[in-house]
Amino acid sequence: MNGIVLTSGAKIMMLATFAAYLVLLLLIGYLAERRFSKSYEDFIAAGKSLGAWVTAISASASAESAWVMLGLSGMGYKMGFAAYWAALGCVLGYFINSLFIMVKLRKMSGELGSYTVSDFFEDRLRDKSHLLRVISALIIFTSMILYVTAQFMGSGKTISGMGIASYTTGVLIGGVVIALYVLMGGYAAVSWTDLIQGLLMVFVLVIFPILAVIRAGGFATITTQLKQLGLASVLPGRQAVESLTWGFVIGQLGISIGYFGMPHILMRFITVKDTREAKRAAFISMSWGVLVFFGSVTLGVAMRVLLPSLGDPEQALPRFTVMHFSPIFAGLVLAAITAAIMSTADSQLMYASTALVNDLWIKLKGKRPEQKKLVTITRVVIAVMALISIVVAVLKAQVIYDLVLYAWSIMGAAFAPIVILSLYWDRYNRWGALASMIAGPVVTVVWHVVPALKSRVYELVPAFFISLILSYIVTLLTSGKEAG
Amino acid sequence: MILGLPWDFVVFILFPALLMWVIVLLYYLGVFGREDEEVQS
Repeated sequence: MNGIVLTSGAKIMMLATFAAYLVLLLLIGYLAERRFSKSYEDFIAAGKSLGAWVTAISASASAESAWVMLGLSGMGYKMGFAAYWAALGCVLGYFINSLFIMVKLRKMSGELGSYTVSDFFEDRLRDKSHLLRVISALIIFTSMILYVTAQFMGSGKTISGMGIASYTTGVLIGGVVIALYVLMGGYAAVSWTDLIQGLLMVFVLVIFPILAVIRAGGFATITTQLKQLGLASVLPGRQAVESLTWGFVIGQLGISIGYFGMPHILMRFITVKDTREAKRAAFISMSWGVLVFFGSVTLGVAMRVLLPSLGDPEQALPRFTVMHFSPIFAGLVLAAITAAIMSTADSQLMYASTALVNDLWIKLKGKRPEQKKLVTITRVVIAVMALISIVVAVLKAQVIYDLVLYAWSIMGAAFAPIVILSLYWDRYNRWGALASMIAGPVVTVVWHVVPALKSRVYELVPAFFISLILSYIVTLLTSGKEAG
Repeated sequence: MILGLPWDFVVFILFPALLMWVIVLLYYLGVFGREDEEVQS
């Protein structure tokens, strides 16, 4: 019903812009393949040589999924100003990462010689049993399949929502293009394409909200109109929206917790060239986050005034583009939305395969196969994962937002406490980390499936704090044993 | 309203977000946290 009807000429122009973007991604994949697929370390970590811009924008773009373009603007449309709590929660996550995690993790992982997050956990906590490595790799693999599937579903929804092709074709376009450039260029291709994708996202989420606000008559008009709808306050009790409660506010701010537990984001901090570049990356990343999150909600809020009868709030951005701009711009927006999807899915695919091959297979096998064989095996794993995710995305339909937040919560609750305690507490040990890895996902799942709990606050908040406290207590209880 | 925006939005959302951005800017400029640079690997 909310599908967008385009003339065939407009459709061709839009498709041409979009196709040019896809070709650019494949070209980057090819260039990365020429430079970074000779050795295994280059293929999975770009030789730990990334600069500040690539690190910052690729970490940020891969952290943000289709949700930031569609879900967040849809939230702005539906909830009005209250949706800015979600933007603030995300910015808080970037703030904590920028100030407390990025530089410190780069420094410590550099000293330890770690290449991945699982490497870091094992090296830092001196876990010779490989238990942390095995469990973390399993959590990462499971969560990322879920995550990648949600991204492919986002691709199907976006492409069908803009009237270009069916849902299934949309899933296939996203899935196949991502798989191809990741297969070619590995981590370098993922990071470079993420840089392009992240810049495209920030361009759209700065320019389009400004234009939307101007067309809606400015902020004063928007505020006045939303006030009449009861959507102009951010404080619970003053809004017409029933879902705006203090539990909602805490839950939205709790999104921030996830950022320092995401392996594919943390990996960028490990592979940045040095701590100086890490510091530059911290500022670039923070600036990107502020623009993107506030831009997305602002677009939704303005669209509520421009088009009050939109059936599906998540179509706010595509609808605004098609209504007000030439098909070339529509193609650009389509590219930006798919960029958000692809930059997340490619990093997940890359990291999940690295978890299986580098973190599990090589380390547990003990003997390291030759470089070329390792690259080939990693490529096979990437292809299989992409295929599974495409099939699941085609077969199963669930709200994108729910799926992504679920995976986000599992990894956030499992790993964020470990990252913090590893960086800031010398006595922290592997048993404490193990407690986090078990408690985090268990509490997340229990909280998520019990409606009475889920309706109170977003599951990541209790899961993180329970996981953190348990991690601390277990470390204290076992510290004598470890020392001995 | 402040600059056409709801006052509670400005106080509880916009101001904290800008404050966080400024703190990271100061960190990047080396106003604090210089020890990170000095001990870089």
